[in-house]
Parts: sequence; C-alpha cells; structure tokens
Amino acid sequence: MKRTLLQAGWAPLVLSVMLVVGCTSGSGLVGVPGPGHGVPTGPPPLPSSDAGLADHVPQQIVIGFLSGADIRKVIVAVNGKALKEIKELNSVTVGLPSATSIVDTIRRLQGMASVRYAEPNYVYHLFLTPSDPFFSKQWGPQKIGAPAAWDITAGSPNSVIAVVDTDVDSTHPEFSGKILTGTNCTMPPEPVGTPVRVMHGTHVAGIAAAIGNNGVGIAGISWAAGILPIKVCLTSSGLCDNSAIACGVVFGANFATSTMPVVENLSLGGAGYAQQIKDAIDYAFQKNVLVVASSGNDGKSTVLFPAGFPGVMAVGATTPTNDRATFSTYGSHLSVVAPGVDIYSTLPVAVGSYGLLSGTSMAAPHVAGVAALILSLSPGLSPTQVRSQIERTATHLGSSSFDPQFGWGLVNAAAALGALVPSNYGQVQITVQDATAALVGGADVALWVGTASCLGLTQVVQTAQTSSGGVGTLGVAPFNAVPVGSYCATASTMTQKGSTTAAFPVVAGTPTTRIVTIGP
Amino acid sequence: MYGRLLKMRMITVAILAASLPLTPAMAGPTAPATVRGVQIELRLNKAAYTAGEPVEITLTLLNPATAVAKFQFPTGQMYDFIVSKDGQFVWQWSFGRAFTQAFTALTLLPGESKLFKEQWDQRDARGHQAPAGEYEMVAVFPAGEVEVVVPPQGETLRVRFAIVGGPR
Repeated sequence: MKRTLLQAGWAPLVLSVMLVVGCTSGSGLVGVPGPGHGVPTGPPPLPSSDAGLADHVPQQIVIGFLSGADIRKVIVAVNGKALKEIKELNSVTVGLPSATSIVDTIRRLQGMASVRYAEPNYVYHLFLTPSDPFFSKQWGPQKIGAPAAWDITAGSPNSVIAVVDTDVDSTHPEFSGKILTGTNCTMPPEPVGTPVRVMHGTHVAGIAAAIGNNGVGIAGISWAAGILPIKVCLTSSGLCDNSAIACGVVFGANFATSTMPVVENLSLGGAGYAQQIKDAIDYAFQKNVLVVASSGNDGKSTVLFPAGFPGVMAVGATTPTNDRATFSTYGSHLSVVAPGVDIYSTLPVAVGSYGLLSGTSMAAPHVAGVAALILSLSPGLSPTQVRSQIERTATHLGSSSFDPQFGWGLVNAAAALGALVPSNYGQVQITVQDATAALVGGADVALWVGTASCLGLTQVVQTAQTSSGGVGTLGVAPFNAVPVGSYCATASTMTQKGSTTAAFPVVAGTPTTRIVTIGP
Repeated sequence: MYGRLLKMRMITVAILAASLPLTPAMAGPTAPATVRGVQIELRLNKAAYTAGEPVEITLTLLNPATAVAKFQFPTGQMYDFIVSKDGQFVWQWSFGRAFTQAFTALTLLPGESKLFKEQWDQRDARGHQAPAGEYEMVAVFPAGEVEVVVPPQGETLRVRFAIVGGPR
C-alpha cells in the first residue's frame, strides 16, 4: 500500500477511504510535487496556526524521543496523555486536551532537549487501487499519478472524451453504458462490419476512459467519462483524410455544451498543413473545446499536424524510465509528454479484447483523460486554462523548465487536480488589410517574439492564415493559445507584406487584437 | 517489444517504376523489389495517360517463403507514392492525409499476398492539373530496419510514365 499526503485544492470533493495512520515519520510528508520539485527530504515548516496544517487527527501529536529521555515527564509537561507507544521507534502518540493548539504545543516540544521531533498525527489518504485485474499491466496510470487523482475524482459522464479516430468497439465491456452517439466522417462512409485491421480507436479509447474499478480488464485515466466515438480514419487501413478529420473535430465541438465539456483526442498526424483542419480546430476553440493530439512518430524535431496547429496540445511519448521514446516527435511546439511505449489497453473483442501498442497515439489519450478529470471538477474552464493546468503541474523532465524533448514535462494527474493555476495563455487576433483598408484573406501571418519596433525577425512562435470568409472572420488570423509575452506580427501574401509597428503584450486570458497593413 | 523499438531506425526502401515505352495502349509499367524475402511490386495500369485520367496504382506484396514475414511500421502508414517531373516534386500520396500514430504490424503468412490500390488524379500538390510530359513514380515502403533487408542501391531504376495531351 502506498501512502502520501494529498494536498489537493478540491479537498471537499475527496471521496476516498481515509486511513488514520498510527505510525508517522518526519520524512514522509510528501505533498504533491510541483513542477521541477523533487520529493521533499524533510518535514515542512510549521504553519502559524493549526488551520494551516495538512489533514491530521484532531488533538493528537506524535513525539519522537532521544534515547534515555523521560517520556512521561515530557508528556505531562504538555498536558498530554500517551495513547500509543512504539518502542522500536522511541515514539509516542499523544492525546491533547481540547482547545490546545497543536502548532504551539509542537513548538514548545521542539525546544525540549530530549525531544527528537514532534509533529501532528497526519492523516494519509489511501490511494485507490482499482480492482481491474490487468491494472498491473498498465504502467501508464501509475507513472502519471492517476491512483492519487482517483482519490479525488475518476471523472464524470458529463465530461466527455471525443475519440477522433478509427472505430471504437462499442460492444467492449470496458465501455458498457458510456458510448455516446458519435458519427462517421469517412468519405465515402466505411461501412459498419468492415473487417477490423486497425484496432487503434478502441485502444486509444481504453487508455483514456475504460471503466475502472469494475473487476474487469483495465482502468482508463478518466474512467467515468463519456466516450464520443468519431470515426475519421478507415478501420481497413488507418488512413485519415483531412476532410474527415475536420468533419470530426467540428462534430466534437458541436457536441459540447456548457455543462458537458468535451476534450477531443486526435491520435493521428501527417506532414501537411491543412487549412481546413486549422479552421476546424479554431472552431473547436471557439466552442471551448480542448484538442489534444499526438506529436508524431518520426523521432525527429519536426512539426506534424494537427499537433502543430496553434492551440492544440501536442503530446510526446515517454518510456517507463522517463526517457523520450526514440520515435517520439519533439520540438518547441510540444506541450507535455505521457507514457507511450508498450501500453496495455483495450482491443476490439473480436481480436482478443486487450493488447499492447506503442506510439504517441498512446500518449495523447493519457493527457486527454487528465483533461477530462480536470473538467469533471471545473466544467467551465477554457481550453487554455485546462492546458495551463496540465502544463504547469507537469513533472519537468530533461531540464527544470520547458525542454523541447519533453515539453513542460510528464503529465501529473494528481497535481493537475490540485489548486488551479493561472492560465499562461492569451488569445491574439491579427486583422490583415491592404493600403485601401480592404481585408485580405489567405494571408500568412507569423507571430514572433517582439522587438521594440518590430524590426528584424526573432523567434517565430506561431503561424496562421487569415480567413477568406466562411469559417472565421474575413481577413482575421486567430491565435488561440499564445504564451504570455511580448510579440510582433508579420503578414504576407505572394506580393505584399507588412508588420505591426510596435511590439504588443499578450496577457493571460485576454484577447489582443492588432491590425497589420500590407503593401508591395 | 520495447527493445526492438529502441533499436529501430526508419529505413525507406524505394521501389521505382521500371522503364517502359510510352505507349498508351500497352500494360502499365512494373517495378519489382525484394524485401526480407517478400516480393513487392509497384504497378501502374498504363504507361501513358490522357490529361485528367486517373493513374491507377497497385502495390502488391507476396511472401513466397515457407516462413511468416513480418513488417513493422512506426505509424498506420505502410506505403507512399511520390511523383516527380524532371526531378521536381509534383505529388505525394500521403500529402493531405494523416495516419494513426501507433506502431503497426503487417504479417504475411507463407504464400500470402496483399494488395494495396491507390489513385492519382493528376493534380499536383497545389491542386492544379499536372501538365503533359514524362513523370517518375516512386513507391516507398517505410518499414523498420529490423524487419527488412534493404535492396542494394544499384537495383533501383528511375523511369517514367507519361501524361499526353492537355497543357504542357
């Protein structure tokens, strides 16, 4: 049994079994680590009052003594009563009179020469280990702290994961009662009953949301979530046409409501920048829908799509030893990483129900599952708020900050359910016009790290095209998730070009609009 | 399995259409290659096409051996086709498509064959009709090196099919 102190921001929602721990030690005070923090090696400083203490047994403390100490004398000195002594540890659990300040008592004890330590009798949470028999074959949930997260929530049927993928086997017992009415966007529609050669969608769905703690199979990350199957890839070949993907993203976006948030998982990718998919993702953003995509399996520092579209959470793959999987595509666009090698999950019932697959396809649904957990507690969060929550609570790998190999680090489900962090992203809309103030559609717009007068191009952060009408506003290029900072924008067509004349700030959660006038 | 993945480097095996006279009426060009004992053939249905006429592409895999042949691909993509003209890129089958990003296995039992059929509508990567002239097509088989034997470089041939009529 693993134990830890859980310092979650949504403590009232904790439904877990509580275990009062009779044996405590000063070195075991493990809070949920923040980004870049290792496991604390000593006790935390005492708060100023009892209100600041983590969960503890009221009116109880634990005192550790130096050998030869007069234990009884010390306990009497604090008006205490010995409740339980562990001679091997030379420690005593002590009851205190009501209305006695634990913090004050501990401070007093810390000043006594014979006292080695004094601490609250902390209450540890019992991590929920699901009853699923194959849970031991799943290294992913353990690696990202899912069991601790499940003590807080296992998700909600009203927090939906759209599996934009091949078919999901709706007859699988792991999805019983949780498959929503999706759609088939393949053109022409691949008929129902096509022999299953590609089992991808069922595997992805299981990682994200297979029913857990049901005594069957495996546990998905957000096991109570609803699954919205959106078929965009052929089950016969695994091929996903761009128009089908765009159709699927839009369907998922339209499914979302203010009380039923949707996270779209796209475990697919290709080399081509498709404006249609970009428009679909912008549309999803407007509908408050987060899109999570696998970074790709080429093992290089390249940008594949849809992972490379602004606002999409690009997820890379890690190994059980927290290395980047050799096949995992990386780069500055990477958001976070998640387990993606030898991942055990659901397969169609006809081909054995369970099995291993590897790829960034397997990493993305770990993150989509965590996003669904967050939204089950806070359904009103925006996509950038959810993304910030996941990125800023991830466990850094490779370096102590952003690392192109690992993004912001390994997703941490337990930490992501802690106190909400401020969003790190704002929105930018660049309107492009010509010298006659006519709006220009189809212009390429680059957003780059600002210089005072926007002279000289520095690091391009994101690119987009202005809308030619239809989807989006004519002449406007939307950037839906721009990290807080100072930027310049440059717009160009085949014959004209222009830039903002001064750098502009991007503030978290706030839309910023600028006009760029282009000329020959 | 993970150990094998770690060792895997992507290898691209190019199978090039064999040189044939540009005679519209005759059967299309073929290009054979052998990868880990498996015979792979790229075949076009014709050697020359009128403007706008679909180019039918067939990729056939045949395992003539008595042992099972297994290939592993890093994504759902098992092949690609690239068309060029005078050394300039014209069209790529995978362009505008996406693939599932999980490793995919392809198993051929002894004597088993698999057939993949695709089509090129003669539109280039920008959607414009390709002009008349001579073209090359390359088939790509992106399997991992652990699973394949790469044919010697000298075996690949660069040859053509044609689009006749229409704009030049």
